[in-house]
Amino acid sequence: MKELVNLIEEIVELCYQQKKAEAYEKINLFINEIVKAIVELPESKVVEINGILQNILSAMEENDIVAVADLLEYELKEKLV
Amino acid sequence: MDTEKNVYEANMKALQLYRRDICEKLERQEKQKFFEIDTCNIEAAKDGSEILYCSKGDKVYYLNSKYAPLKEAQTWAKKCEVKNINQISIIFGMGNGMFVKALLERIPVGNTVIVYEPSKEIFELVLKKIDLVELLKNSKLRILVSGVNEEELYHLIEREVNASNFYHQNCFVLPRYGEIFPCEYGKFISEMRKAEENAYVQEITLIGLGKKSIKNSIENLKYILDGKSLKNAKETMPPNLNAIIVSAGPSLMEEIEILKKAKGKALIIAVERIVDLLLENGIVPDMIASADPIKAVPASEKMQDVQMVFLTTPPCNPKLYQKHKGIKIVCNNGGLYQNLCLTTGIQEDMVSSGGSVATFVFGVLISLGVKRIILVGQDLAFKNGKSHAGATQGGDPWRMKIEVEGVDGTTVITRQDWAMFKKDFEDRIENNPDIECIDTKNTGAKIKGTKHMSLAKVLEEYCKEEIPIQEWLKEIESVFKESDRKKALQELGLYRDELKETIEISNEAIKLCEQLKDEKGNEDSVEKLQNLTEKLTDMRSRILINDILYGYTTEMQAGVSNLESEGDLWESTKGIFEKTIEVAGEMREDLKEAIREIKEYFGEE
Repeated sequence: MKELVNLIEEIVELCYQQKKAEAYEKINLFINEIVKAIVELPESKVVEINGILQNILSAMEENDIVAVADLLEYELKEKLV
Repeated sequence: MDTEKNVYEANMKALQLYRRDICEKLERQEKQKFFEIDTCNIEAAKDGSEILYCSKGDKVYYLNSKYAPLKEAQTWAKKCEVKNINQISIIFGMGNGMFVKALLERIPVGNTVIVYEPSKEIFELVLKKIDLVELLKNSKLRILVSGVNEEELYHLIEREVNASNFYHQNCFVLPRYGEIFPCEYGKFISEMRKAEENAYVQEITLIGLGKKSIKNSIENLKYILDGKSLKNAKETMPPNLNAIIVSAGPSLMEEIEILKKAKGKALIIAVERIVDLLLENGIVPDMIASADPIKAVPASEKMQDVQMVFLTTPPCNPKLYQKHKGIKIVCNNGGLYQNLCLTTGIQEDMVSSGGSVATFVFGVLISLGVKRIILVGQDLAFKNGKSHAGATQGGDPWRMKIEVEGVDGTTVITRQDWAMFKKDFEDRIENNPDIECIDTKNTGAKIKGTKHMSLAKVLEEYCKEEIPIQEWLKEIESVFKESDRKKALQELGLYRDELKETIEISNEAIKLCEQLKDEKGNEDSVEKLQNLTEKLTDMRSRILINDILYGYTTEMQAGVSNLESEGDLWESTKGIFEKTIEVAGEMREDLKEAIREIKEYFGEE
C-alpha cells in the first residue's frame, strides 16, 4: 500500500504540472497495481475504492487532469493508509 | 457584501496606481458579450480558497483544483522554475491570480513575467471578488487582457526580447485555458511568434550594424557639422505644404508619369533606392533620403548635376554623403549627435529612424509639422513576384514570406521585414491623429489608418498651387555655427583623451579579473573592479563604444547560464575589458582622422 501511496504522490505532481502523457502512463501502472492490492481489503472498502476509481476514469474522459489528481490525493489516498 | 466591495475598491485603486493603462481602457469600454465562454463564476474550494469556473455549452470547466488550489499552483510553478537571469516567462491565462503569484515567487530579480488573460469577463470578475493588489503592484509582472490592452503584446515582447534572452524564454498555459479558449490561444501564439521574430531581427541588426553605424557616424562628422537644421526648416516651412514619400515598390511604375506633375506643388522625397529610376524618367525629387549604414550608392552620375537636398542620419553610408553634392540635412538620431548638441547648447529634435528609410522620412515629416503625407510606391508586398520598381526578380529569396491584407481587400504576399515596416507606419499614424496619410497605390499591403486615393486625384484635390519649395530649402540655416563647431571639436578631442583613459582603466580591470580568478571572492578586488566599471560608464565618450560592446556582451550574457565556475565568470568579464581596449583603440584612431578631416574641410588649423 505504501508503494501505491508514493505512486499517487508522483501522479498528483505530474497532473498539477500538466504533464499529461507521463501522468497517464503512471495512472495505468497505478490501476494495475491497485486492482491486485484491493483483493485483500474488506468488501465495503473495495466498493468505496471502486466508486472513486470510476470517478477518476470519468475525469480522465473529461480531460480534467487536475480533477484526477484531486480524486487521487484527497479521496483515494486516505482509503489506502 | 461589504468585503466584496472593499476588495473591488482596493483592486481598482491598485489598478489606477500601477496599471493606469488597463484602468483607463477598462473604463472606456462598453460591456461586451462573452466570447468563447458563456458564463464565469467563483466558488470556495475545500480549503476555503476562491476558485474559478466557467461554462461553455453544457460543459463546466474548473480552472483550479477544487480541493487544494494553492498546492496545485505551487506544484505547477515548480515546473516553470527559472534559473537564468534576464529571462521572460509568458503565461496564457491569469485566472484567479494564484498560478501567477506562485510563479513570481520563484523567479529571480530582473526577470519578467508577461501574463495574457484571454477573457475580459474573467478578469473583471476576479477584480470584483479576489484581492489582486499584491499582483498589480508587482513590477516584474506585465498584464495583458484580451479586449482591453491585448494589442500591446506585440510591442511588449518586442521590447523585452533581446539577444541575451532570446533562447531563454518560456511560454506556459494555465490548466484548461488552451482547451477553453482555442481562438484566443491561436491569436496569442501567432502574435507572440511575430513579435519574437521581429525583436530578433532588430537585435541581430543592431549587433551586426552597431560597429558600422558608429564608424560611419565618425567618418561623416565633417558633413554633420556642415548640415542644415531640421528645426529651422520647420520654422521656415511654407504653410500648407504637402509631402510625397516616393518609395521603390513595384506600383511606382504606374504612377511615375503623374508624379512629374507634382514637382513644385508638393515636397517630393525619394528613397535612395529609387533615385536612379526617377532621374532617368526626368523627375528630380526635392530630397533624397537614406539612413542605412550599408545601403548601395545610387549609380546615376546625374545625381551630381541636380539640386536635391540629402536627408539623412549620421550612420548612413559615407559614400553616399560623398557622392551627394549640395545641402544636407543630417537628423539628430541621439547618441553622438545628441552629445554634440548638448555640448554646444543646440536643440534639434531627435528623429526615430524606424526600420526603413520610408519610416525615417515619415518621422522627419512629423517633426517638420507636415499635415498631409502622401505615400507613393509604398507597396510593402510583392507584385507579380517582383519586390521593387524596375526589379527583374523577387529579391532576397531567403527572407520569410507571409500573407497580409491587401489594399484592395485581397490577400497579398509580403516579407517579414516589410510587415514590420507596415506596423511601424500604422503605429506612427495612430499616434499622430492630426496628420492625414494618403496611400496612392492600387495593389500591395494595406496600411491601416491611411486614406486610399489615386495620386492623380490627390494632386487634383490637394496640390494645385505652386509652392516655393526650392527657395525654402536653400534658405535653411546650418545647425552648427563656427563657434559651435569649435566647441564640438573640443568635445571630440576630449573623447580621444577619455578613450585613452578607457584603455588604461580596462588594463587595470583585467589585472583585477586575473587576481579574482585565482583568489576567488576577494571583496576588496571586487569593489575596486566595480569602481573602475563605474568610471568607464560615466565617460561621455562611452557613446562611441557602447553599441559595439553591447553586441559583444549580449552574446556573452546569452551564455552566462553555461558558466561552470566563478573562475569562468571572471574570465568572461576579462574578455569584456579586452574587447573594450580593442574598440576604444580603434575609435580613437577613427576620431583622430575625423578631426583632421573636419579641420581640412572647414579650412581650419
